[in-house]
Amino acid sequence: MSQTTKLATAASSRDPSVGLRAVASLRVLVEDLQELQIENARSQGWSWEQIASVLGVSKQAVHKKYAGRRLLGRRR
Amino acid sequence: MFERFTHSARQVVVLAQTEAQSLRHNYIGTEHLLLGLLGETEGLAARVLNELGVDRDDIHKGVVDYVGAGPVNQPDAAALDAIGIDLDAVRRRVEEAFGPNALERTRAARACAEKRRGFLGRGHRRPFGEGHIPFTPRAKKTLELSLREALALGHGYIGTEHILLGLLREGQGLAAHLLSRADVNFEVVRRRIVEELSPDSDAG
Repeated sequence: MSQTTKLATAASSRDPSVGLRAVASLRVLVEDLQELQIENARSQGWSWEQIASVLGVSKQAVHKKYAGRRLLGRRR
Repeated sequence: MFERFTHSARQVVVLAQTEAQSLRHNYIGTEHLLLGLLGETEGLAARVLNELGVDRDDIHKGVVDYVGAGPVNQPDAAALDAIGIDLDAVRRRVEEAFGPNALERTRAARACAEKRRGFLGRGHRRPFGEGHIPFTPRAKKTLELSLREALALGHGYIGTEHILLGLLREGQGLAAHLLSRADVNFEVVRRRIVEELSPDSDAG
């Protein structure tokens, strides 16, 4: 990985393809982390309302997106 | 299947896989084989295609125009590093709290859920994991036809030129379409190849 990393860092930060790829990757990472944290919160008994409040979004938004997903997500 | 492939021809298949991966496609189609042929500049196919005015970047653009690139479905460590985020460090912290492969596990669950909801309804948009990407039936057919083209020319090996002939002979794939759009047809290519391989040719 170190070589590709070097390549990316060597590229100008004004190169749109570097910046946009970073943003796209970040979005995936955010989705991963959000899902993980919500799954964790639910397994610790948090309500959708509590979760939504900390995330700063509406309860409906979180519930709509994540409810029913837990059956898959909780498989360990 | 690949026993009779020359080093360059094998390289084309490897490059086809790389091209598919970089477009985030989870299949190797005729278009990836064509990009592989153009990427293997040592090969006769690339030489013939260049002589006929086929440009690698044009073909790549054609592929993106027709089938698009797949969605970004896993974070790219190099891209994140460019903006100062160490993906490995994030992963390490997450795994300390949630166990091994926590990120990958949630991502896989999400992909399943999205697929069920039809977000990624089109088959080729399915996220793929590590490992081998399967050939499409047309790409398979192309490779079979390349053997037939080699035999028809009396060659005991399969080189990049035979894969190119296979692509054109198969005729229905995206590669054949893009080639015909570039005015490249089977007869012209075949004649060129025979010329290039004839003993009195100085093309080498």
